[in-house]
Amino acid sequence: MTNSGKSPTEQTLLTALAQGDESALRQIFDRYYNGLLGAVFRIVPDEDTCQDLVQEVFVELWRKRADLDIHTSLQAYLRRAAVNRALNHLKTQRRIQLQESDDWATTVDTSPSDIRQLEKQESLEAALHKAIELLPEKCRLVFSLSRFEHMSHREIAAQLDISVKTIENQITKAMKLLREVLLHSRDLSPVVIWILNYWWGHRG
Amino acid sequence: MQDNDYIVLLHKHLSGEISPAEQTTLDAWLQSSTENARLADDLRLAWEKSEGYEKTFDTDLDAAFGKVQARIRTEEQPIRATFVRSQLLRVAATIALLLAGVWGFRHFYHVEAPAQMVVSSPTGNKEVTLPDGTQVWLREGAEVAYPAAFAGNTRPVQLKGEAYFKVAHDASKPFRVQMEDGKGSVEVLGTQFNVRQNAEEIAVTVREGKVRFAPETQSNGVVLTAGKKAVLNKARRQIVTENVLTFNELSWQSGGLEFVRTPLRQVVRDLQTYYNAQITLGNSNMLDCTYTAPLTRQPLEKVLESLSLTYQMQWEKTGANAYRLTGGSCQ
Repeated sequence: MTNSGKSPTEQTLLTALAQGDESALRQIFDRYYNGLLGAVFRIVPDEDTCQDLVQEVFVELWRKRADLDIHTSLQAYLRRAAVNRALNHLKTQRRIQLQESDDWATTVDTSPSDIRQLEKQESLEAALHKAIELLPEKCRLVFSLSRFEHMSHREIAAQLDISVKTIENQITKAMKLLREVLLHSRDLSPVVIWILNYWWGHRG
Repeated sequence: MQDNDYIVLLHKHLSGEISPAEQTTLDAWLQSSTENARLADDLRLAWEKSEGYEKTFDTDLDAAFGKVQARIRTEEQPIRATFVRSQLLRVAATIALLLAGVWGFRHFYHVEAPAQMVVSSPTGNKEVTLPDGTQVWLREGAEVAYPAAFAGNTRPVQLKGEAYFKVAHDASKPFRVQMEDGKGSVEVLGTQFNVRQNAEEIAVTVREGKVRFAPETQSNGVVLTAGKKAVLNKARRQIVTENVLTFNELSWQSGGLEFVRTPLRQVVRDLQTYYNAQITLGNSNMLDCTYTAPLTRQPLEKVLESLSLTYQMQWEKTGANAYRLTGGSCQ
């Protein structure tokens, strides 16, 4: 083989997969499994469930191996399949109760900031990540679908079966709260985390 | 427009889904004050810096792939089994015909199994009465198979799709519903319950009496009493039971909705499903107010009208099939 040393291309892997070669499935699995877990975990923050859901993506890939019709990259295809599975999981578990309500409206007032004074970029990122983790469940979900799955407001609304208006409310809430973190990031401490928890209530 | 609307526009700008017209509106707002511009800067920074948010996993790939393989095996087995079985049946049928030819009608008559009846409801709901007097309401697309006479010690029935059962009581002969893919069964003596199944789940809702619901893997399963619902997730082989707040998911069989001290959050959900509409409850204080009313095939707007009257709410139509309830109080 002329390309020894290179990993087999996706097309080669897919061809082998279509012929029922299980080692091809294993290679695809090794390449993408952990990454897919990371993506799914943002939607369903439960490790065991994520493992289940992502494993099921590969079972499905195997099931459909003979008639796969992938127009994007294999990675993008698997990512989409995993995300859809995670969203379906939420629906069937009825864990999302995105009731249309205006309880988000009581957000805190923001004060003028001066970002240039922010010194430690590292801690800002860490603070933001922590903040996303602490967002109320529905808020974090909507934000994650927008930020990381690049879904539009309309798409998210359709996927979660709720109105665009509610999506926009949740997005607004998330953006405001992230800004708060940014404003406080200079002296981010357990006290601020406590304050955030206090504001946002317990996680759903 | 309010500040929150501009935050939505800023977000659309950051996520790249803003329309040219919206961008123009946004630009004008940004130029109108330095505070607006600062807000925009902050949001951009927060947006950009949030990019790396991802938990890193370092799973034992051998173990995880082992589970994938195990699932593939369990899935492929039943397919092979059915294939072999149908081959066997074909052989058996051929032999039976040969025997019939050789030994004549009387011998053939002796080896014949009790006739299997099949009733399906491809175009609408259908009611079937089984030999023991049990009534079955098949939902559109469902199919039930049962012997012409329940000769053995049990009353076995196979079900595809969704059905509501009103089982005739017979303590000596348990009534057993087997799901089409063999992934679960329900056993009862006499009761009323509903079975709904799709590729992912089997849901059993008990209205009266007591049933035992068993997935393929567990022979014992769970015992469900009236007002309980159990959902079996086929992939995870896990049963989750819950209390039924309303039986309105069975409205396809009963023909109407009914609320008995039902929290409004559930009322709204049931109305949305039944009328296929979008209903917004503007006042979140109302979510836990309870509502009691039998509603028999009234138009949705009538229902909203009486709901509004009960709680001093206002309702308005906000779209083709969308409504919004505002105001109100529980008293």
